[in-house]
Amino acid sequence: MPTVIVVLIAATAVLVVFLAVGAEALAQHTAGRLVLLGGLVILPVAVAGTGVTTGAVRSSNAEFCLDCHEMEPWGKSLFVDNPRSLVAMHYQKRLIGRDQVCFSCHTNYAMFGTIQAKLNGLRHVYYHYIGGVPETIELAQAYPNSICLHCHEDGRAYLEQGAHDSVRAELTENKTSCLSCHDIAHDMAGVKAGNFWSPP
Amino acid sequence: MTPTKLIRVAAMLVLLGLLVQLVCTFFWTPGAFVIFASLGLGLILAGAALFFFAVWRVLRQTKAL
Ligand code: HEC
Ligand code: HEC
Ligand code: HEC
Repeated sequence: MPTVIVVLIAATAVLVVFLAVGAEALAQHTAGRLVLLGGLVILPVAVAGTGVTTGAVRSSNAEFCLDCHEMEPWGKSLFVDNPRSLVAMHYQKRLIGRDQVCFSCHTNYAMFGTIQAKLNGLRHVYYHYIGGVPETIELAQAYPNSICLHCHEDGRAYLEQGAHDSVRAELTENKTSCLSCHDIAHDMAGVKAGNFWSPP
Repeated sequence: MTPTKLIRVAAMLVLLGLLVQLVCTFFWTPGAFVIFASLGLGLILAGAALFFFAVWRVLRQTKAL
């Protein structure tokens, strides 16, 4: 949480205490009643709402994903020295934003896709704290091409690559997965072997 | 309950919600965010609802509504 919001929450809490003490006197006249409305309802709801919105936006950051130790190996897979790994390649060449690196490939770009991704995330938080994390972690559904195509569909490199010509329609309809040829997403074997790229 | 007392209870709910949120910000994890958004915001909204209930009751008693 940004410090400003923490300070605002604390200041609002102090204000609420003072208003509760002075409620009797303030309720006697119109101006006082407006102060009560502003200080006990409007300000707290605005401050708390801003906090929730900020938190929701920040939950797209890789930092947030990697807060749970279960995701550590996938976090490490960003650094594997393997140009064939989609994840390592996109990350190391900075083809996708560094801050939201996981979210860029693990959200649904359809309408309300972000909300859907957040609700899925909520379920993962539940597994982490209460439900228990499964032995092997895998995606709930097969990875949809639509995510890759959100960035690549009208991109020159994708369109000009002759290897796609024979399957392009099937790719668009999600009948053939991008991963059937680009078959290393997270190079987990590389993580296990400790095969990481280090800057020269 | 007198209107003042109702408003004080509403203020306590709001205060509790803000304090829950404040504590969460010091242990910022995915779980803390969920509590921040559910329990914290929930208590604050409950306090706001109670505040409006108190106002509505006063208005009705004074025949303003
Ligand atoms: C370039 C896109 C891309 C990025 C960036 C990316 N992923 Fe993935 N991820 C994938 C794909 C594609 C799969 C599906 C692999 C499969 O089905 O074989 C996947 C699968 C997963 C899985 C399921 C287990 C598995 O290996 O199949 C987890 C967990 C995961 N990713 C976590 C993360 C985390 C955490 C980050 C950020 C550090 C991240 N991913 C970044 C594309 C990406
Ligand atoms: C957030 C946007 C984004 C997403 C999502 C994304 N990519 Fe990319 N990808 C890029 C950009 C940008 C480039 C570099 C420009 C280009 O080659 O079109 C790139 C390059 C590539 C390349 C060429 C690599 C090289 O060596 O130059 C391949 C292959 C590729 N992406 C496959 C995929 C696949 C498969 C997926 C889905 C799992 C995917 N991408 C998801 C943005 C994305
Ligand atoms: C039939 C196999 C096949 C499928 C399926 C496939 N690709 Fe490719 N793709 C290739 C080959 C082969 C290359 C060239 C070698 C390489 O860069 O890996 C390539 C290259 C690329 C490149 C880089 C182009 C360049 O010339 O730099 C991008 C971007 C790309 N693919 C995206 C995708 C996306 C997105 C999907 C899914 C919608 C997809 N591919 C599905 C075979 C495939």
